[in-house]
Amino acid sequence: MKASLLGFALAIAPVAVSAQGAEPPLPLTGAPPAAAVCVACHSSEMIDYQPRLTLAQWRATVLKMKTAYGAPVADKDVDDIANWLASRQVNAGQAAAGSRRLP
Amino acid sequence: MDHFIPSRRHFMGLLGVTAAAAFAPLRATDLQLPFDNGKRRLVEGVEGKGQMILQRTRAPLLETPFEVYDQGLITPVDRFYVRWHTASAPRQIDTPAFRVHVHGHVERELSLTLADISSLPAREITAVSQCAGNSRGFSDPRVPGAQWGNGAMGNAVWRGVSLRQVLDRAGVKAGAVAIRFRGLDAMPPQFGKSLAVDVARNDDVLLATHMNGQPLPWVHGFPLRLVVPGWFATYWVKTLSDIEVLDTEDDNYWMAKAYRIPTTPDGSTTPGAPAGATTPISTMPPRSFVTNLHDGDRLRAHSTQVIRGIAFSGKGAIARVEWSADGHAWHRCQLDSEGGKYGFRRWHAQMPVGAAGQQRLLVRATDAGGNVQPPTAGWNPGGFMRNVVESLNLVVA
Repeated sequence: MKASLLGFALAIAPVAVSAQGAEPPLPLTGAPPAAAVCVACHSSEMIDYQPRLTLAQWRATVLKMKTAYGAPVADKDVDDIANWLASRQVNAGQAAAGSRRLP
Repeated sequence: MDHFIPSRRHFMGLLGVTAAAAFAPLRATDLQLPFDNGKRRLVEGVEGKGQMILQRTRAPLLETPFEVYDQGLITPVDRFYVRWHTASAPRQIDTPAFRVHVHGHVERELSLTLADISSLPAREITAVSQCAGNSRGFSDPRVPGAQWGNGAMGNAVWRGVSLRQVLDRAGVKAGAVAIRFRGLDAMPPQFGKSLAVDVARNDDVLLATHMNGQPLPWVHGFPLRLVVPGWFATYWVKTLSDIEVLDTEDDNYWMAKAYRIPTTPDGSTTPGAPAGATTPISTMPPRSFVTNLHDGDRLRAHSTQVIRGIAFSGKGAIARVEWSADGHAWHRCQLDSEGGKYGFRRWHAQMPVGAAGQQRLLVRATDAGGNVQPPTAGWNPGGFMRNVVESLNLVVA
C-alpha cells in the first residue's frame, strides 16, 4: 500500500512542476555532481533563500537531508556538497551586497 | 556562460520519470522582506493563487502578502499561505475510492468514504492557521528553514465534522494515549502528527472539507484536512487518510524530532546554549499586527491617525489590544465585533501624531488566559513560535 502510494506520487511529479509554474534556473556552477540530489525533492530557492549559514550548519543540513529525509547522499559526498553550498552562498552574497537591506 | 541550466530530465530521472515538464510563464516582480537575503518574487497564478510571495516553487511554499490582512477579517482562499514539506501528495484524488482509515487501539476499525463523513452533522469554525515557523526570517541569530516574513498565517471559515464523532463510532479503547493523523504525502519520513486523546476529542477539532465555502483546493489538503483550532498548523494534516489510535506516545519523526521547542515557559532558549529538553510545539501564543501602516510610512505632524490591525491567540480569546509609542504607556484599542475566539480579531484606535521627527508604534495583545506578547523576542533553534510585540518606525513630517 505504502509503496504503491509512493510510486503514484512520484509518477505525477512532472505534472506537479508544470502546474506550479517555472522553476528558477539552477546555477550549479562548480557543483559536485552529487549535489544534483538536492533539487530532486525541492526547488533551488530552498538553498538560495537561506540566511548566511556556516559550513557546520550546511554540513548539518546535508546530514539531516541524508539521515532524516532519505536523500541518497554517499558519506564521501557530504563534505563536498556542504563546501559547495557554503561557498556558493558567500559568492552570491558578495554579488548581492548592494541590494541588501537590514531592518 | 557562468551558469548552466541542468537537465531537468536528469532530475526527473531521479524520480523515475523521463517525461520533460512544461513550464508556464509567470508574472513576477521583486519584493524585499525586511531581513538579510530577503529578496523574493511576488508571483501570480502559482497553484491557482492570486499574488503571493514565492518562497519555494517545489514543494510549494507561498506567503500571503501582508496587505491582505488589512483587507478583511477572512483571508481569501486565493491569497492564503501554502506550506508543504514534500511535493508527493497526489493532485488528482479518485473521490469515490478515497477512504479514511480509523484503526489502532479502537473497538471497531473504520474505512470511511467522503460520503460517510459528509453524512455526519457539519459545523463551521472560523480559525487562524499559522505555520509554526511563521516569521522565522526575523530570528536573531538566523536559523535554517523556510525564511518566512509574517505572512505564513491566515484566517478562514472551516467547515467539516467533529473528529469526535468519528472517534466515537470507532470506539477509542481505554488506555489510548494519542491519535496520529497521516495524509497522502507519502515521501519519507512520512508526515504524521499526533494529538493527545483529550485534545483530539474536543468538539472543535474538525475533519474539514471546505474553506470559506469552497471545497478545499489541492494546496490546502483536498479532500479532507484536520483543523485544530488554536494549535499551530503543523497539526492540521492535509489530504487526511489515516487516523490511528495509539496506546503509547508517538515516536514518529514529525513528533519525536521535528517541530519541537524547548520546555521553558516561553519555548525560548539562549543561542549557543547546549540543547536541553524539548517538547512538541502546541498552541499559539498571542500575536497582534498593525495592518494599515508599514515601517517607514510618513504621517502628518500634529494630526490624528487611525490605526487598525488584527490580533489572535490560540490560548484564549483576545481580551485586550493596546498600542504604545514608547513601550511604557499603553493605550487600549477598540476591539471590533467578535469573529470567533479562534479567529483574527480586528481592532482599531486613534493615535495622536506628535511633532516632526520619528515616532514609534508598538502593539500588543493579551488573551483571556492572561497570556501577553513579550517585549523582546524569544529564540529557539527551530525559529518557532515568534510572538514578540511588533513595532513600526514612522516618519512624522
